[in-house]
Amino acid sequence: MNWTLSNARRIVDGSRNMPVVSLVAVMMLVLILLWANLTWIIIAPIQVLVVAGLLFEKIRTDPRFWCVMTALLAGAIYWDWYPLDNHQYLFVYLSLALFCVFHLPEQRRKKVLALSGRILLGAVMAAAVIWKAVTPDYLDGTFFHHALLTHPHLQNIAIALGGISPEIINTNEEQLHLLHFSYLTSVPVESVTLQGASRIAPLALFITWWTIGVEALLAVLFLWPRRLGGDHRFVFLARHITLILFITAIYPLAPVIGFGWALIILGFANCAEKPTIFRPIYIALMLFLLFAGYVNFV
Amino acid sequence: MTSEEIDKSVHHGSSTLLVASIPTVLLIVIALVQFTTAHTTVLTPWKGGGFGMFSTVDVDTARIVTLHLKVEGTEYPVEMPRDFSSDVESLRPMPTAARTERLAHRLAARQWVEADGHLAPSLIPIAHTTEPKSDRHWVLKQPLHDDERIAEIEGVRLQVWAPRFIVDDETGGGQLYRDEIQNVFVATSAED
Repeated sequence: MNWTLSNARRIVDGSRNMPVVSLVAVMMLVLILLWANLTWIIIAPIQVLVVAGLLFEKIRTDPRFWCVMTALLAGAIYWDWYPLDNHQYLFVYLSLALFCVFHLPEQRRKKVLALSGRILLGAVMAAAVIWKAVTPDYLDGTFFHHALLTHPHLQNIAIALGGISPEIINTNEEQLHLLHFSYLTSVPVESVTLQGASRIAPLALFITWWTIGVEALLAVLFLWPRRLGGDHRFVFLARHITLILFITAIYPLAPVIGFGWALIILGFANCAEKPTIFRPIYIALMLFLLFAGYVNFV
Repeated sequence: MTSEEIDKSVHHGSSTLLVASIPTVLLIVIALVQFTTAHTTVLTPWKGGGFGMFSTVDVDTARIVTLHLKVEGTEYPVEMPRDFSSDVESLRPMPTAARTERLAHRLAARQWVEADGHLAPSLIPIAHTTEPKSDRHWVLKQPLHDDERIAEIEGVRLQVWAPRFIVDDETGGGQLYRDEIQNVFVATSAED
């Protein structure tokens, strides 16, 4: 028992004393180990690299290590370009960012890491906002209306706030099944009717505008130029509070833990230049997403 | 601060921005390629690295892939074999004619056996409302018994359908359509 406690204390002390850039590298390696979607040919070399990087600081702070890691992750994307989720691409950009950071002299690493995390996260949010703004069935609420009626992760919200019954959810599932498989029958259908309730439309519109609004706010806050006060304390606070609220609130809508972790690492990286309360909050948020993923609390 | 120090600081600042921007530049390039591809081809906005997820109902997992086998001059609907589920998953985000044809060729190259009057598993939940299109069914398997013979497939038709949803303001529900985005017929060598 004493041995376990002393080891746990040593790990906590070690992480507290670990340089923040190295800590980001550790977070990134755990992210890759748990959430990278890799083709079989790349799994073994990446796992060996991850274990080596986790065990030895000298390895995980070597730019050649991150060069190889970036190449392997990019190889996985090339192999499975279309089916892979967007956050798998983000892993490559994060890995490339660490390669760039560790290529620099030690005194410049924190600054470049902080800036890299900031503009990467801002660019991700900007791309997400642009797609939503140009897609006709997003802005009028159609996307979230459909999602509330059919998506398993939104069903509880649709029942609690949208006023639809579990029976309607079941009927809609049957209709989806019919649309998928009616071609096997004598009466193939080209469309099916999904049932709803009067409160679904306003709820869908609220989620629609909340999501794009917060994403746009994050894009602005993270891409705010330094010369216009991007380093001001107020902007820094607003940036991280908004990101933490976004990740916490969006999880029920999009329970993709790997993506959440990648956003957290980018937020954490932006705190690299000076100690801040947000660093432990981001680590706690990582654990929260992991726990929530297992419990599936929504 | 001397002018030399100011120059050095400005130089440092711009090089910091330059190095820090490298991953973002790559992100922007890939996002632009994805944005263009999704607007000019059948790529779903959800995939391809453009961060278009949660923007449209046309998510790849909601796309429908249907399969027909041509036997003795007639096209019969067939349920997609489970062996091909990962191929279908790969096809759905970007069902170009070439990619769809490749999958159709692979389906046509396999051995199909006429099943003995069994409903396809996915048809069972809707069988109470409608009837199977045909009494004849095919499954993908090795023939096990003497009375099972390998079907002579004349061709394979693969279709991919994208979902489209129209909200009904009166009921709070809506109409979900399937729109054909790809239709490929591959004749087997027997027909050639």
